[in-house]
Amino acid sequence: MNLTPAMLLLVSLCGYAIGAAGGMLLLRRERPANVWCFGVAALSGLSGLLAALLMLAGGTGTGIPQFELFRPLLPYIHFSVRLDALSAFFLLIVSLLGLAISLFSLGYAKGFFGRKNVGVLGALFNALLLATTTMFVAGDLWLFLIAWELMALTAFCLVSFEHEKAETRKAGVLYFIMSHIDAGCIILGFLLLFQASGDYSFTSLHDIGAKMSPGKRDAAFLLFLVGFGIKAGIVPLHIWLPAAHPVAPSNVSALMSGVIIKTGIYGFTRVCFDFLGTPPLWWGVTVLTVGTISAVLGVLYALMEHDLKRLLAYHSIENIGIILMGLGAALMFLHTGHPLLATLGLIAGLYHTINHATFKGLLFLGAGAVLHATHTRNMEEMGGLIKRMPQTAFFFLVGAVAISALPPLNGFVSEWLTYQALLQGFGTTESLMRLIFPLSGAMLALTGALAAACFVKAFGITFLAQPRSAHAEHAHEVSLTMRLGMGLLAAVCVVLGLFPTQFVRLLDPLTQQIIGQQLSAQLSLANGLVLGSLTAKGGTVSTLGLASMALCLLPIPFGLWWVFARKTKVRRGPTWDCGQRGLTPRMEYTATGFSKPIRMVFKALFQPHREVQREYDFSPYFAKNLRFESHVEEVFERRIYRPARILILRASRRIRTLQAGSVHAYLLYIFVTLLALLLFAS
Amino acid sequence: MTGALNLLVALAMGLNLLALGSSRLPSLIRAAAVQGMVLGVLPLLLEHEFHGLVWVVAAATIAIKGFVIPGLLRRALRTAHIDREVEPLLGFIPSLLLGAMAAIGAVAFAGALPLRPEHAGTLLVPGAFATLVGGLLLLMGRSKAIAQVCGYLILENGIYLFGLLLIHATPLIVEAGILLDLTVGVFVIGIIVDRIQREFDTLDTRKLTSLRE
Repeated sequence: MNLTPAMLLLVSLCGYAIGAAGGMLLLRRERPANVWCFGVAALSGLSGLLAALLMLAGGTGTGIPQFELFRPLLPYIHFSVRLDALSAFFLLIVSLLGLAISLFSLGYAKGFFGRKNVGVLGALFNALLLATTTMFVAGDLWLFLIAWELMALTAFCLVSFEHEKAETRKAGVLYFIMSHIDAGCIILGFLLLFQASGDYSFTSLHDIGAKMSPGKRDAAFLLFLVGFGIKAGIVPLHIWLPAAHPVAPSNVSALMSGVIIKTGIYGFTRVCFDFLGTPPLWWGVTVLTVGTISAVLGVLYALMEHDLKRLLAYHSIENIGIILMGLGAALMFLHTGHPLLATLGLIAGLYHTINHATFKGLLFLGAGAVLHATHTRNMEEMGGLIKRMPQTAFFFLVGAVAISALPPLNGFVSEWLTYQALLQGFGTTESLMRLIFPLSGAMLALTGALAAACFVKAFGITFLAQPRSAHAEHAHEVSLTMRLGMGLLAAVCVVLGLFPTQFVRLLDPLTQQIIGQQLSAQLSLANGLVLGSLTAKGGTVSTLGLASMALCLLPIPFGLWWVFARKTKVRRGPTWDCGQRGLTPRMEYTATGFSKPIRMVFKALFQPHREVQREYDFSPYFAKNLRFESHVEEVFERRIYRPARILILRASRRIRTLQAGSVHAYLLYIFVTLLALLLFAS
Repeated sequence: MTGALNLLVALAMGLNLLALGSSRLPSLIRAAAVQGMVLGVLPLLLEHEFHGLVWVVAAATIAIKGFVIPGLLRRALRTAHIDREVEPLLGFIPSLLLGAMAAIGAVAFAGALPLRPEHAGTLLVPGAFATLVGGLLLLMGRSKAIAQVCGYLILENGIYLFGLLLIHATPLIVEAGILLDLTVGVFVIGIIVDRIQREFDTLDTRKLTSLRE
């Protein structure tokens, strides 16, 4: 039997549907529900992964598989599914993450046994994967918007899964509101496009921007930027993200951070590069600026966090910013007529998209494993976990190195490509671009350094030194399936880092479809061992070379020890404790202490609130107790959202007088509305 | 044919004004009932070929709108011991003025609409608009539940007039269905009126404001 991508895709979609249905049927039996739901989800993910790989590896020659869902049931509406290269790329991401996270969940969901209904969790998890996959492969507006909305609703249910906690309910409502604002913006934007095309299918919308008036085109762009930006979590529309990700079950946070926020990137890429046509300069400048601000602010706020999952959530904002920097640069190059450079920017952005999906999925799974073992998200109560959970610690370290953009892992490759795209913009002629590209590049460098600092903190405080609490003291390694899920993603991180030229080849059909250029041949130097950057003056890098160099250098210290120090006597003694006898975990560096220098440097931004109270009997110089309190509040929360909320509440109270409770008044409203509509229509 | 049709529709428009000007509930009910009967005759004038169903529907309309529903309402009046005064929120003179303005406006408005040639010469569209507005005015301007039911009946008559435009397109069975809905609706309202009366000792819908939220 010949396996086609369309068939595998259909198997994957049906699999998720069956998994969800099984979860609902097995509500009262948690063990079978757990195995069924997450097992089926893993197999469906595998099927989708194969479909995407077949499609992308087929190159540009293969046709685009298309079919319709529910054909006999819906005589008038066509739900068409279309797997073009861009859809296939995002199908790859969702299926890969779906597979790994489902494996992880097989073990993780056992933590809910007897406490929460695992059947519901599994059913919703499958439904979320189904909606997201459908959204990525939708070939018309109807199916896209329906799947988009279903995705938002199931994600809301999953975020509110542990709804007995007030914090969770609050975050769920915030996510609900924000995701409806974004759906509203997107629907309005698509209506503007529909006005020009008169047809719902994505093929008819291709390059529709050329037929629209500039004003409407700009309006559509802004609506999409806000709509997809909320989903992606760009600053300042990100506030739902650090609230919702930590409170969700960890497998759901991994899925949300790995895939759901990427749906914003998918929508944005689809609309800007496929539908809206050649962009004016300010679109690219806006996207690049928004991306830069998101990257820098995301990592700065991440540094201030000591809740492990909130820290990772802020890093998602940072990485979305980096992705948008690549896409923004691509838009600017499209405007100036440099399709090759635009392709480079697009490749950088999309490469970072899949990289972020893998390492952030991995890190959230790692955080989930830590949470599973210690029952706390507060890093100040962790420590010493590397001795108790060595494999989890190793996988987390792989993710941390990848997200800090250190070679030879995947984060490094995509950020390097982003640098190349930005720096080559300096060579163009427009003065604005000559100014903005180096600035963004410098900001990206700052972001990378701060991210590395942040993960030194995240890894060091969580896993190293001695346990800071009884929770951490009694932690133990998690089950095999959980480690398997993390191990899969860690392996993907390494592969994507070591073989960039081979991976870029998979992107060829995508760039060919969107911009009409293929770069893999030009980027791949020395038989694919070295990654180039188009021009002779640009840099080249080989992660494979760096890795093998490291492997070669590794024996040298051992050799030196063997030659010179083998014979010397080893003396073991206690760590020097400055003369204060007995070091305790309370003397360890804390997460707050570690980030203090950065808090001081960026004081103008953070405006930290700190309070010190001394309790003493006779003189303040002999304090009995010290109480220190410090917290950082987000500037957007205070400056934008709080005034907006007050304003909206005040307006609502004004409007509420309309609800007088009098039937006659309500009838009057209906009458006036009818008259107005009649006059408007005539 | 058009002459007779216009005469009947004009009669219905006049009954609107009568209903708006009635100060006592029985006369209001009577106005609504007569209007319903007048409109019940219309399908006979519009339909070109006379088959059994048309007769059945016309007879049923006249019977239900002219006798059954008014009967139900009168029974509710009797059993719930409701005063015969209408108690307007909007005075009779303003109501009448607004109703008259609506009739004039409806004629002017219908002239601006792109109608099919066979409807252009008739009063069907202006009559429908005027009756709709008259019904809405009664709904808004009267405080007693029974009076509001009458407003609702007249509103429905306006919709029915609109429906006559499509008489060749929609099967009469749809009209029959609407009629059934209406009867059941009034029947239910009759029961609710009785219950509200027993619970709150009043049928003044103004007192229902405390039920909000």
